[in-house]
Amino acid sequence: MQTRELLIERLKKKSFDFKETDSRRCGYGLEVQTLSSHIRDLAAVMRDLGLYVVFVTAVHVRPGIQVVYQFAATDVPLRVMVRVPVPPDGTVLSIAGIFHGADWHEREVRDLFGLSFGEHPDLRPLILPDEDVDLAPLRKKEKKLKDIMDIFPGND
Amino acid sequence: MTDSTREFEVYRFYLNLGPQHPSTHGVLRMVLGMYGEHVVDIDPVLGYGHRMHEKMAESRPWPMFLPNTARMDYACALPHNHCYVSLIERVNNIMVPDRAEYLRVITSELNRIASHLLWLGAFLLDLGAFTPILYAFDDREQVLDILEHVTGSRLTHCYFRVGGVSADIDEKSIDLINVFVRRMWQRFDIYDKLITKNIIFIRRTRKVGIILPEMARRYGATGPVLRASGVAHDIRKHEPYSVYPEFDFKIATAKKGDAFGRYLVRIEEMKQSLRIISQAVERLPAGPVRADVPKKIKLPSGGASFSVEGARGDVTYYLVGDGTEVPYRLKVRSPTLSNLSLIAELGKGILLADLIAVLGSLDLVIPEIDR
Repeated sequence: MQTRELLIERLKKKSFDFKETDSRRCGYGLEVQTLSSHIRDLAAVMRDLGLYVVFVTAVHVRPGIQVVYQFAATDVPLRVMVRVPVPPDGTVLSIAGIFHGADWHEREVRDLFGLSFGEHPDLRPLILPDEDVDLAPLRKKEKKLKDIMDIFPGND
Repeated sequence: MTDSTREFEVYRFYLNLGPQHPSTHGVLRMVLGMYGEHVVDIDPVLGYGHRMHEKMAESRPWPMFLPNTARMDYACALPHNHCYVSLIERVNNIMVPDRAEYLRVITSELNRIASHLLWLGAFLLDLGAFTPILYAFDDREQVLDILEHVTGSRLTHCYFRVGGVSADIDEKSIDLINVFVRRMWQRFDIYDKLITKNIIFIRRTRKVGIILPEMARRYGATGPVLRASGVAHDIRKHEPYSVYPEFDFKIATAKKGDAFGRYLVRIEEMKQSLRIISQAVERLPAGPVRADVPKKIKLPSGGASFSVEGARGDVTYYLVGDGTEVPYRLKVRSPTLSNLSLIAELGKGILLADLIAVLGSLDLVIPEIDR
């Protein structure tokens, strides 16, 4: 069976909320929405199928920051976007224990958005200088902040 | 504490490598825990070249960010350029004329060769061989002359525009490219004699810094680093973009995943790039080089990404639009960040001299990591 079908089957089995998208239109074939508490389960599924972490980043919208992951396969053309809303305590569970490459990406998100990653092995600042470590430069000012419905239409 | 661990603690010392060390290529600093000549732990310190490009992208209309894309990976700027304009074209359904796509491929591949030549010279310099960089820069100079003629700049090329390229290519450039391709094919023999069969080079790189496919996936390593581990993953073939499917070329791979394998992969990639360039120049279609696109293009709501194969691997741009001309969020995925992140695991327990060889073989461009 192809990686794509296998992945869809496993996502269904673990009842993840996903939808298929047109990769020619948006660059990825699957979109998954989940919660911080399930992100490790999801990452483990990706790892077992041989996908790698393309990037981890975040988008600041109202009501809260969304952490965004992209995974890609090396055997078939398949990219998966995953979106996780940050819980009220500002901490998303880290996937660095599953994908070691996510370590630096998560540290970068900590720098740029001031988020915290739970159970991260070493959440020190990565790229910001010492005086700016708590600046969170990519957080939007209230005036520029947009509603999640305007930014990710068709999703909640 | 046992005697041996006490001895280890007493004799362990810290060595600071960089940010101005020549083998860290740019401004990478590494704090190395040493035990004699052996590296016991590595703590890379990044951010010396951080310019917050992603914030700049959020604070201006999207066309004004185009020059920024050429300033992240300075050694291979055109794939970043390509990725950004293709992403804007993707979200707005803009078709690009064939001639423009061919020119994009030709210039991107020339840029890839220039980047690999720069790497080749610098890598051998790291290993203490001074001569190869003179040959590599001689060749790279020819590519830069062509790219200067076509794109207008020698380093931070910003040649692609949404809907095409900024200017058409002239007969003189075509001639220069043909001359260069013929010349470059003969140069590989020289490199073969000078480097590939050099016993010192072989001893310094073979079985050094072995990256297994499983480890490469765990860290998200892509490009020549992944291909040298035997995984034939190349976005040009795998998720074809532009007009790459029209050309006949192979994915260069090596089996062992060591520094020598990464050298072989990049040499083979230069040959494959030459093949692509010859085919593209031969079949270059006539016609316009830029589609008629509206002056003001708004970015629709929602996320979209685009990936290209840069000289160092998977370059991905992720754009979130909000219906205005200014991107709401733009994420730049640089391959070097993931490729370097495995160094802490890879370098544990090896000799300091081997660490320099491993760093060189990863082909680091630090401003791309820091952005």
